[in-house]
Amino acid sequence: MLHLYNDKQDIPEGIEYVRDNVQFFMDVTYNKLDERVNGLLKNTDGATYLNSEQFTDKWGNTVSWLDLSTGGKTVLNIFYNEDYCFDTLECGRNALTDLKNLRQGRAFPDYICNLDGVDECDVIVDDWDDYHYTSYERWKND
Amino acid sequence: MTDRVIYKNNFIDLDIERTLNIYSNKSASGKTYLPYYVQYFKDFPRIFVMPNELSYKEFIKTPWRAGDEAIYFFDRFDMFGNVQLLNILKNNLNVCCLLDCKNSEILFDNNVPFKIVYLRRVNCNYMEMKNDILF
Repeated sequence: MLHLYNDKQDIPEGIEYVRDNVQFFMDVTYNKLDERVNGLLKNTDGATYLNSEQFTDKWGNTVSWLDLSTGGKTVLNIFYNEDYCFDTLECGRNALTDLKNLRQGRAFPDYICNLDGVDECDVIVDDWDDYHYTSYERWKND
Repeated sequence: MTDRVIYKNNFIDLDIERTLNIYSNKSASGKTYLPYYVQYFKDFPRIFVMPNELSYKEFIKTPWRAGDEAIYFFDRFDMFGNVQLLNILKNNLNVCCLLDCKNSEILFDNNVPFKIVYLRRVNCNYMEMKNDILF
């Protein structure tokens, strides 16, 4: 499930907080990319894995992974690095929609969007079982 | 429609067809590439890009380069922008600055008298600009 944290202090010990998603993507995530990215960025870059250096974007262009949007980089950081908690400050609402659709990883703060209208999610806030949501609407209205 | 950039005294009028794709609160809309797109057009002013934390720090240390008539583009302003920088910008409103940001409340918290640009990508090769102009 996707772990969201309301406050930085709620991030568990041993989980490192990352603010600069672009730098982390270049240093770490870039070397982990594979076909699992397909479908993760439907609402942002629309990236389809081409090879370790490039992806095909939503218009069919071949683009370097380094030119992925910052929001896209953040979503992939979250997906590929479950032992870190990533700041979503630089995510647009569409990236926060891609974030909602993730089923793993950690992010701060506890804010997601639903531009694609897909209500299903698997989100837990502050690692409290009482705050485990499988419906975006329920999360929003709680 | 004209393919050009008009540079006026206190704002930048980006009257460009086919090129721009900025959107305030969406990722992957191409904000970062704005400075590179406009260089394909006639009469564009030079755009200095501040792409990272180091360049922000250098700018704060030495804000304006004498004699340069240019636009200053602050990439990832959400990440690297701060009050010190804003105060510099607020005191130099005759200089065009593009602040690339999505969620930055710092602009509102500090009553920055800038207009915010909203540019919308129509598709990869044809982009339409909305009428709100940044500065």
